[in-house]
Amino acid sequence: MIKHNIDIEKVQLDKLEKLFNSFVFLTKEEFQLLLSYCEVSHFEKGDIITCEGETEQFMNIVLMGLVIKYLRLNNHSSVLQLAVENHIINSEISFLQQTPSQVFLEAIEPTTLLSLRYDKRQQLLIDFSKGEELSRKMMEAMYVRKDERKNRMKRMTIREQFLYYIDRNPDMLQRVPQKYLASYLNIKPETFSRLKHLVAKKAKTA
Amino acid sequence: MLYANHNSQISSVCNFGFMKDQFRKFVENFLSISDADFALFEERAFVKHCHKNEIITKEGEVEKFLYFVAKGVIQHYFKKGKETITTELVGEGGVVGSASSLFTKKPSLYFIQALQPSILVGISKENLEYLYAHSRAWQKAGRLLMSHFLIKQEQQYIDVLKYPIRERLVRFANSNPDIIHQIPQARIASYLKIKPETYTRIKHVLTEVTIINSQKKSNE
Repeated sequence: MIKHNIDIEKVQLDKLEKLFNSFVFLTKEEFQLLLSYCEVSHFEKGDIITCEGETEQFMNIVLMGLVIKYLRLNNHSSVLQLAVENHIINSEISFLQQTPSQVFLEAIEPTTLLSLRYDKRQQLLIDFSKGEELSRKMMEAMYVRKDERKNRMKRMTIREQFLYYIDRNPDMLQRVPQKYLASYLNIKPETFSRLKHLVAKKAKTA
Repeated sequence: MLYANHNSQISSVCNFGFMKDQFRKFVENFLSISDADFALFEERAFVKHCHKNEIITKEGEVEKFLYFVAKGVIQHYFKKGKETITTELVGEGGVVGSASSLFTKKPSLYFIQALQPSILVGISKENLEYLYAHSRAWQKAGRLLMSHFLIKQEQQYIDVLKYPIRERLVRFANSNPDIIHQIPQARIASYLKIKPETYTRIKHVLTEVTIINSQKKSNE
């Protein structure tokens, strides 16, 4: 892992500002202040960002790349989250409670994260008047995403879930190794191949 | 012991102040709230009595309130064909409301229903925002409450993956000793993703949990 001071491309910076503004309105100065509490880290493909058993120190936003969060079970792993550009990801229970993480975070592409360290976050909540609101709104967004996913998993068939996801995230079939995507969508590997062919056929006829 | 419980139930039915005190205790698990700040809440909160099976929020409508459960048991559920799927069970001391709908103003994905006669302390989204805008303490409480929601949601999801069925039931019984005997077992089975026939086969573990818990209580 290589760490830098804030050195983010203009395009990414604009996207980031837009993301924060979707939670709470920030002036340019407030946005800069917020960034001064954060750090940027780079990870190679395959790097473990957070390990099971260690206490999560960061709250991250993906600036570039792809991060997965998974739970290691006896004979397999279960993928809980796939995070791409502008998604928030960390081992949230571990971070919020400062207890050992139950999950892993791993970069599956070369990845750049904007990260806020736990103690800096606590400081920010004291120093920055909009910190409480921003933090609450970010957690609301995380909650809603999970709630909607849980709801889809309970209501939709495997096939519906697959099509729903691929329709909205067409690039993920290329970006994510099949076993991870299958696990995230709760699909058996053999069923996954069958569904993938279905999408390929659809694309041809369209 | 039974007699004491009985008395406290009666007083809670008669006394709105008691229920707000319960809520204050709940909030003070997270941070301390001054009397002045708590008064802001009291002026804007309301107490809602629900009869058994009363629907509090309908699927498809936008949620306007969050509720603290002062008494009773509440479920979140939706219908899948003829099947009722329970996605949340909350007893005394918990918070209910279609949170995603409240945050996003999108229609609620589920129903919220009282499974027993229940008493809730409710507050509207507008009043909640008033509290956030007028008090640093409530702003902090709001953030901590949101962490609590997020942690609970994530842990619930991890538990289903991590623990075998029997252990799931024991964990649920241990963290919800009050509600386990108050509601139909089909609701618990649905919530824990246990097939009804499996539930019938393993429910004897609950007797053991109840005995252990009552022994713990009498030792205290």
